[in-house]
Amino acid sequence: MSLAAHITTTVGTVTIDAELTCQAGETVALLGPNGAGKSTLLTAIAGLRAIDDGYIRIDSTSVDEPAQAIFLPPEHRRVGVLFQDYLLFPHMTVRQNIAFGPKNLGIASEGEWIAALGLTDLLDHKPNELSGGQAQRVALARALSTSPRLLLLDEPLAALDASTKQGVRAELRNFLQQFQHGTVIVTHDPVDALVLADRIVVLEDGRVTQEGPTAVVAREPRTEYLATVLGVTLVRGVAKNGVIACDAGGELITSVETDGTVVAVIRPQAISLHTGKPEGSARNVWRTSVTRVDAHGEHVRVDLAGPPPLSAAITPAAVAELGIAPGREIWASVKATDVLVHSA
Amino acid sequence: MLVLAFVALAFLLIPLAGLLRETPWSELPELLASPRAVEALRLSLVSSILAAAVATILGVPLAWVLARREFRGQRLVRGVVLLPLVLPPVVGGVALLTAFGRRGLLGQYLYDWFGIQLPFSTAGVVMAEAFVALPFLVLTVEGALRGIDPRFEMAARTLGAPPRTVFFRVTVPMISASLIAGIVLAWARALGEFGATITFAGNFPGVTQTLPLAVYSALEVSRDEALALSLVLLAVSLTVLISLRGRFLGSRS
Repeated sequence: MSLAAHITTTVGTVTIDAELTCQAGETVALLGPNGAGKSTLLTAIAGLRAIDDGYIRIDSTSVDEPAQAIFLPPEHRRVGVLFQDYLLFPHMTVRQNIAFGPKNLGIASEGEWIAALGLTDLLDHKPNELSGGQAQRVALARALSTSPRLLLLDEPLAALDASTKQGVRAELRNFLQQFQHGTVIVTHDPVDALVLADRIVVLEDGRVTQEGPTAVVAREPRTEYLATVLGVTLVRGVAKNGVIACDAGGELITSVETDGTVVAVIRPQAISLHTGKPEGSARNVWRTSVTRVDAHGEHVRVDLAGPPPLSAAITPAAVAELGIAPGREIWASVKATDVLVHSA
Repeated sequence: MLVLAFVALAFLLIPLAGLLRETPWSELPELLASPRAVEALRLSLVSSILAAAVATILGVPLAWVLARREFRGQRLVRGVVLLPLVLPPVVGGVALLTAFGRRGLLGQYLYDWFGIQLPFSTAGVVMAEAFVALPFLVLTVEGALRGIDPRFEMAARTLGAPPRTVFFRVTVPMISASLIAGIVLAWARALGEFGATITFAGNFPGVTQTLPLAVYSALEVSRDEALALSLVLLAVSLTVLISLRGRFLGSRS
């Protein structure tokens, strides 16, 4: 159903101080780099570690609130957890794994998801006989077996190889759309967050640095980390009369009249590369050098020195045609309308 | 190198060959059926099984604490656990006497308040054996506990299992092979115990005279009987070695 939490705790050198909410039926992605404290938040919500300060409330009831001396142990929280590497009990069959929770709680075994997740034929198998995708579905069925009030998924797709990831991600998306309670997904993969979540909360160094509906966060990244993982270029600077003086040097011409401190987002597809000085309507033109070339699936990412530093995405054919390689001098252009400006 | 290695191997094998050569094979059934042998066999079996049980019941929780908790003095505790491994068993026996003897640290109260006298009793045999067997169980189980991901236990907690259920339904089954190995090792050590037993429990036929003690006593009166009883202990040792071969000989990878 719903979660409201303000969690303060310290792990090693990272001090976590983050607020997190999740409504019934909502899927929230907790996105951040490794070591940001995402998994710590998850284990705290599940009751596997106590928080130092703040509160965790599930359906408006405190389950951990140090100031009130409240701490409900994990076995009483009814929070379902799908762990990163699934952690199916190796000495039990699939059936026994799924029956473990209901038996502990003295409730009827939840048969509903077994069929829905396509596990009927796997019930008598041991975990080591399952494929990665099957193990993930069993772990999901097990997490749901206790009729949890809240579902937590810790890097649900990280243990899968690239070829199965796509399919399992689509299955998980279908499932989450039917699921009536709240779900929090911890991930460092922006694709998981974009595909699965209704809302994204970005966690960096123990703090929430941005949050909002998935579409908005994807369109308007406000942090370097998020811009990098989304593959867009984020430029900070001061705007005046439609021109941004970039903090990293150089200028950007925009099509809006926002003044003051801004962040500008440039999608990599919006940047054109040319061997000679481009002719046309693009108002931002640089002669710059290539600093790095990386293949990313169907496109190639080309990092440019700037200023300001930029990242372009082009086809492998274009790389060959333009003779792009690190160190190569090249012309780049961006239309003013492709520089998306947000007040910072 | 090879020569010395061969000498070492011979050093281990020749005494066994001697034992087998001198064993009075034809009179074996008769020798083992003697009252002293039967009594010693029975006593050894009962006391070593009880000692292994005591070591298991006390040793598993100790292993769990060492593997899963972090506390001040942990290294010291592990050192105490290891002590009976390196301590001469006779010293262990003397130590047990000073603790549980009739005028001992705890023994005086056991005797004064409850009339319980542990030294020179079968219970004393079990205690002496458990004392030397405990480290084998603790070390084996602690190693196994460290080998399993504690997050399995966390997963069980989120599935509504209180700590006790987690321990018996998840932790113990996951370390079952090592637990059995630890129990067998502890039992084998208890079965062969000599020094601590004779010091703390004495050498009374039918009460505290276990197999190794019977071998020692028989040697003075009937060499053949000593050989026959030794053969029994050798057979048990070989059986243990074979049953645990995967652990020590690496034949099961």
